[in-house]
Amino acid sequence: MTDQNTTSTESAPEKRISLLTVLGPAHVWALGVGIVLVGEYMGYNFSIGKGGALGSLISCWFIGLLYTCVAMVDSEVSATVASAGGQYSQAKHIVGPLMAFNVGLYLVFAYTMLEAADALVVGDLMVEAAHDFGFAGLDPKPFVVFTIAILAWLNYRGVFMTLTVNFIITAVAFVAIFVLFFAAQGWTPGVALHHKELLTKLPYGWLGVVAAFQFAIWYYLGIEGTCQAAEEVRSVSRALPLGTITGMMTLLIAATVTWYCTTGLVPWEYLGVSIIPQYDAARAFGNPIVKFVMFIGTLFSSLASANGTISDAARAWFAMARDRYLPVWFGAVHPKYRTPYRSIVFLIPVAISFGFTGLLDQVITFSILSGLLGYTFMSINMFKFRRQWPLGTIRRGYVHPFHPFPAITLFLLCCVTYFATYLGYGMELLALMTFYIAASVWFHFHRYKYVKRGDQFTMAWPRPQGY
Amino acid sequence: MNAFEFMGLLCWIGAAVLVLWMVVDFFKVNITYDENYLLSSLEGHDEITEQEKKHRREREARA
Repeated sequence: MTDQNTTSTESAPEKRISLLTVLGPAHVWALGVGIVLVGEYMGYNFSIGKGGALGSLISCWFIGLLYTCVAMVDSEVSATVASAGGQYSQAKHIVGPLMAFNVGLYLVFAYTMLEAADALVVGDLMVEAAHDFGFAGLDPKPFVVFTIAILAWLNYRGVFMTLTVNFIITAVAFVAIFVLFFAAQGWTPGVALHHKELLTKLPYGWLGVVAAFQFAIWYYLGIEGTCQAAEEVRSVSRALPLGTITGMMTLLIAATVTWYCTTGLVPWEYLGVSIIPQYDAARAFGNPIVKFVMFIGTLFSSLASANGTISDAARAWFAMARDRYLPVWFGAVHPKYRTPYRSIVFLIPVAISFGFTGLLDQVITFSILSGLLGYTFMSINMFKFRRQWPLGTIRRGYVHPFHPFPAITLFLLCCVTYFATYLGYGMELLALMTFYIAASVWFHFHRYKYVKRGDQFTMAWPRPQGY
Repeated sequence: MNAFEFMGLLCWIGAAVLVLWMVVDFFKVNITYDENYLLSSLEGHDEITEQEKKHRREREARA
């Protein structure tokens, strides 16, 4: 293995530029929850279509367990590998270059497709709003493009303002979930929420529950994105674990309340195919103020998610370029705003092209699958991390409890979710795997020769055990 | 043209202005600054620790 202490410091120019170290735990929370919370406004409901309302709740909590493991594992490794690129950098230091290349691609595709899906939702929401006002047939494309453009501009101008805005709009979207709960008097069943009449037995049995796992991921997809900000937080060892784990707690509460309110208002058969389920639940509730709040909640959560995914995808792309896994040209930092500006600009047309397809469920599925491949890596990565650098050999900002149970649980739940994906989207699963295999072959035979192998290991760690 | 179509038109114009702004700034930065400087960031480079060390040295020098 290459010497981990080797850096390029000696040959580098004296005057350096770096990403700006300005973020705190609230920004980390805003990044993680901001990316995910849109899942509480749309997407999660496809799990209701797969397994019925109760099947969705069961899968919501099992997938919640998967993501709690993700948050624990990720917090320990990210608080130690404090670098933009998140899981990509972890893979590079702990597993090896080919894994790192693949993980980097998973991240870029998961976030860019999620960004496109978010922009599509903004467009769909405007179409629905226009329809409610009596204007049918509105073209959603200008709203999709404007969403991506304004958020890319915000990201271009600096990470502090980007994530401060994300904090505000995410907080508003989170509060909006509870507006529906309080308006419907969620604590008194039968007033507005009719679970007794609407909840049925499992319509497709336990296989339906397993099939629902695929879309239950939408309740939490993206919380692992917090670690992309590792290079820009003031105190990595404090801010990252605190932001990620409080974010996960926020999402578990939001997911359960969302399920409770919507399934009490809308029959599962309709909810399971809705594009904007919270807004539809508000329509069913009938109160115009609640409907407006749900419109704002859906809009803000989509914007927060797109904002966070632009930030994360650009940092993953930037980190890969800096190590020459991709053309090094993308590894530039803006001298004034201190952002990875070339990566941000490059990914705008990519996101817009995904957004113009209009295929929301296909885009979501590719995003979920890329994310899932990343989680599978995390479980393997955790074992290697603890084996190569046991506790006490390097300074860790956070040590997660009960190792190896979270890593094992994570791996097993990932396997179940692959099976669930195979049931509904087998062709997409095969297509994506083929793509990643082809990309790996390209990297191995073509791209790897450009990688400066010694320069990429920057952590001042001792040689790993066994090498 | 109804209000929503007008909003759509504004969105096209707004998006064009923002993208144009980014593209202009993008090329301006690329031309103005040395490429090696733009590409000089290091993974895990801890700016705050460096600043703290610098301030400590300055305090010690003053003392």
